[in-house]
Amino acid sequence: MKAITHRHREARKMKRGLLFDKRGEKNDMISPIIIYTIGNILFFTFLIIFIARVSTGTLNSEQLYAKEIALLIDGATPGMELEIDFTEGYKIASKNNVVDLKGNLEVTKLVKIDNEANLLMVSLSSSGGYKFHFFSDYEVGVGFKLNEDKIVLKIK
Amino acid sequence: MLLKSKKIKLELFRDNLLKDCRGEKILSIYWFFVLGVVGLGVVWGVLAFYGADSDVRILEANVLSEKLLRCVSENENILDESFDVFVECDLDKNIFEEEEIFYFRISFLNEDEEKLREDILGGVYSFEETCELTGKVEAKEYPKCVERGRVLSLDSQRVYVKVLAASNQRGEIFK
Repeated sequence: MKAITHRHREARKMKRGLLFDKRGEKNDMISPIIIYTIGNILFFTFLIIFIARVSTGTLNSEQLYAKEIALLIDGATPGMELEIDFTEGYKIASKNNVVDLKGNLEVTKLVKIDNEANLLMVSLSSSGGYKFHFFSDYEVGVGFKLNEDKIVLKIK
Repeated sequence: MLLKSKKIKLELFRDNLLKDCRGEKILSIYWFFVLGVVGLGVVWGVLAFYGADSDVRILEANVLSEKLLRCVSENENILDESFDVFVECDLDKNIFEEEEIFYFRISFLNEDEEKLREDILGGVYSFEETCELTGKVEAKEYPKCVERGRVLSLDSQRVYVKVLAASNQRGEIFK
């Protein structure tokens, strides 16, 4: 009988502790739940975006095009004009909605060359891409032939 | 009686752990840890399945060595100490000196394998040692090296040009 009374007293104490903190104020239980939910949503969003990007072949194609173009530039001599088949790149970029305000494919964003830093950047999605250096001291100009699905490199 | 009281205390402790905020906090930290582990596992699995890394370092070393050999063959003043390989061969000096991803050495030897001039070097000198280790030790991070040579005829003298080129460029994803 004594033990039951003790148990009841403890349970009452505990109930008080759950609703009120030491100073007798009400516990704020909502903010941890919100943080917890936002954390989970962010985590799964990033995970899904990552999987979607990788599974469409964006990462792989960006890498392959960057390396292929850099090697072609390094193997070329000044005065050359190189045409590279970019069919797959255009397809992936269209899928990833790399379009301008008029709804056209924003080709100038796909392959960028920084001649100062000798850096080549290929981006087939709206954010991010793959960068690769070339070692030749050339001025390289990039052109796009959309109707032929090709990109043109002019080496100076 | 003592046992009974201990049992009650144990029950109270269990109830407390489930209802108390501290227990919830512990659970959420544990949950984020589990999410992290699951996330890493998924990323690793997806990359292993889709993202076959294309390694072109050996091709790059090949292109560099071929470019150097072609350039050296076309120049007649290669034995002059004033010969600037970066200018004559259209190589970007900054890339070789700052990026630490390329290396080359050009040696000029006569028929008796004596040096006709100082070797021309560029890039990361330590690649030379790692190139020597290639073949003996397998390491993913080691640069890929290519060595090739050509015999040239300069002022009725036979010059054996030896080029060692190395690349350790892997490329980078940017956000």
